[in-house]
Amino acid sequence: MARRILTAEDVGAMERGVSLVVDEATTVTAAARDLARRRNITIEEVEASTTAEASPSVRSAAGGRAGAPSGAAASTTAAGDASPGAHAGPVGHLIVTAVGVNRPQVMAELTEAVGRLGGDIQDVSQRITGGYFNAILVVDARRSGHDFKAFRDALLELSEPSDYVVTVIDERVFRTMHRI
Amino acid sequence: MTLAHQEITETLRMLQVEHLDIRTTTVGINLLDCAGGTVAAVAERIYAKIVRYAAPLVEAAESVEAEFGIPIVNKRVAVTPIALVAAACDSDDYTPLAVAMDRAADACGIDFIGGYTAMVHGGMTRADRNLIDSIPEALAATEHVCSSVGLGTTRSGINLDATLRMARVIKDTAERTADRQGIGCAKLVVFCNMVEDNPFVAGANLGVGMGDVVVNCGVSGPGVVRHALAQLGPTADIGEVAEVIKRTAFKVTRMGELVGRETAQRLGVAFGGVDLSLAPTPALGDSVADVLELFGLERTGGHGTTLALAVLTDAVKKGGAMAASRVVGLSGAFIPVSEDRGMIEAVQVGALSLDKLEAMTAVCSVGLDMVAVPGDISAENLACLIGDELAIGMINMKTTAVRIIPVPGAKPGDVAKYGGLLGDAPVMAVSKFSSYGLARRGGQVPPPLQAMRN
Repeated sequence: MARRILTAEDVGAMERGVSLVVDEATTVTAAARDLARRRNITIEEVEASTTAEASPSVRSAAGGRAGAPSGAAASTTAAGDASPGAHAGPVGHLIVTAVGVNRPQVMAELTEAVGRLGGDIQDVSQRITGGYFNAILVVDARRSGHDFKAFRDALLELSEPSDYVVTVIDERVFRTMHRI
Repeated sequence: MTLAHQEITETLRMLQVEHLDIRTTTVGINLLDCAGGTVAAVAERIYAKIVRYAAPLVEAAESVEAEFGIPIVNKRVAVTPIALVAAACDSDDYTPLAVAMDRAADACGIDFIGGYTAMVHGGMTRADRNLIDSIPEALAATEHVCSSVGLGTTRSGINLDATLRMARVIKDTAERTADRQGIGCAKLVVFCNMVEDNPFVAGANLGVGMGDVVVNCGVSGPGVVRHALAQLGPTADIGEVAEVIKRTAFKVTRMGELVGRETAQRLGVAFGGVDLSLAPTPALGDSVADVLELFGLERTGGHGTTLALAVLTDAVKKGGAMAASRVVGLSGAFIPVSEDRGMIEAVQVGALSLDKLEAMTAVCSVGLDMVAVPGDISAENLACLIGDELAIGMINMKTTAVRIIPVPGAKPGDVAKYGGLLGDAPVMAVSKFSSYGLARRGGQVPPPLQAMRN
């Protein structure tokens, strides 16, 4: 659950006398509480499950919903543009590897799965040593329409420890380690 | 393919077999804007600011882990030295600030938060004294908070009064956590030439000139270096050994640079740099002692150990410096006794003594780290044991630290078991001769000639 911070600046942007409902994921700062008291704004803290909305909601003194002030909405949400928050990177080039006991169809299964996901295979390398194969595919997944997790999880479904094991790792790991 | 098959398999082997990981991504948060007013108000502001910036850390780090296939073992926070933040408070008890840090760590899902810190190398303010005196209570009352105190620098010399005061604080901290063999001391470290951008606990803090919010990254990799040396074999000359370590350190550090930058970008904050340290864990094969023994030593602690450690530390720095855009923290090789299976064994077979460890700290990146000694050591002897270590740092213009645990009721040969990353600490013998007179002199050790560099 993303944690939100309600600051004095947010309280200052609200109308006097309103009632503010915040859930347990919202931290109300000391300065915000002080200002709320001075502006006759009531802060009601409730469990997350009882609030219907992700952001703190504001009711007018009469009890009707007045809507969250725009200034408060922007700064009370941790994932807002101006606030810190975790942003996943877009999927790019991936290194897909498969290691296991050699048998027919292994490469076909890998390439078919990558193709089905919309990945563009840029390079392929395969070695057979002592009956074990080690396959490496460089895949451009930028136009696949999937995020990294979906792309990886779909390929990992091919893994079967008694057959072969697939790994999917961002290509930058390898490039960074071996190239300046 | 532009990347060779061999290069890809080498990276995968490092990740999947040789324990290559990122030891920590640490978000440094400046808390100076939380100062002023009552302790309760400062505590609430501290809590809110830490949570605001650190809450997304775990999620961001885990997404980087998943995509890069490289484990990020710890996600941590370092803050402005609390003695600075608390100086304007109306109360002399700063324990509520430690509790606020602890609550914030809990809320963010992080294991350690560093910065319950004072810098007293040239003298103490009222706030410094208050903070130091509150350390035993603060560490006993919290789970995640780490404390550190800078007692000396090459430029200022060593504050001997503060050193004795800290020796008493360390003993008190051990006593208050006697039921867990003095584990409070595992979260407390004293320094000479303390650095302000250290991502590793217990000394993590964010100096006042380091910006508002910044991500620093600490790498690991003893297992990777160990494998590379094993491949090299026992007959290669020492220059080749250094070269292999340098090349390996380059690769390990590049991972730290990539992960640190990506994590900072996903958090929307600045990237600071990489701490190049080789950091061991109690896991099998992840030992700095094992690396030293591959130089050709039967056991770590034998003659030649300081030489091997000097070569290792220097090669790690050289390889890492080329790989990182900016080097931060301590950077070298850590030799924490309890956290390194090879070190523990070396102590238990009688190969490694406290005196040899002290010599090794002259060439490694830190100092006496996670060393357990008998709990009945006097405060004065403990102060002089710390003083020896600080002197090595002061004269050699390097960081040295002491994280020592006087285990209540323990005798040499006992083992204090802490578990997890802290491992098991064999209790080491200390000198039976008194240093009372020196410790009681007090005052300021004059800065050495090396300090005059302007």
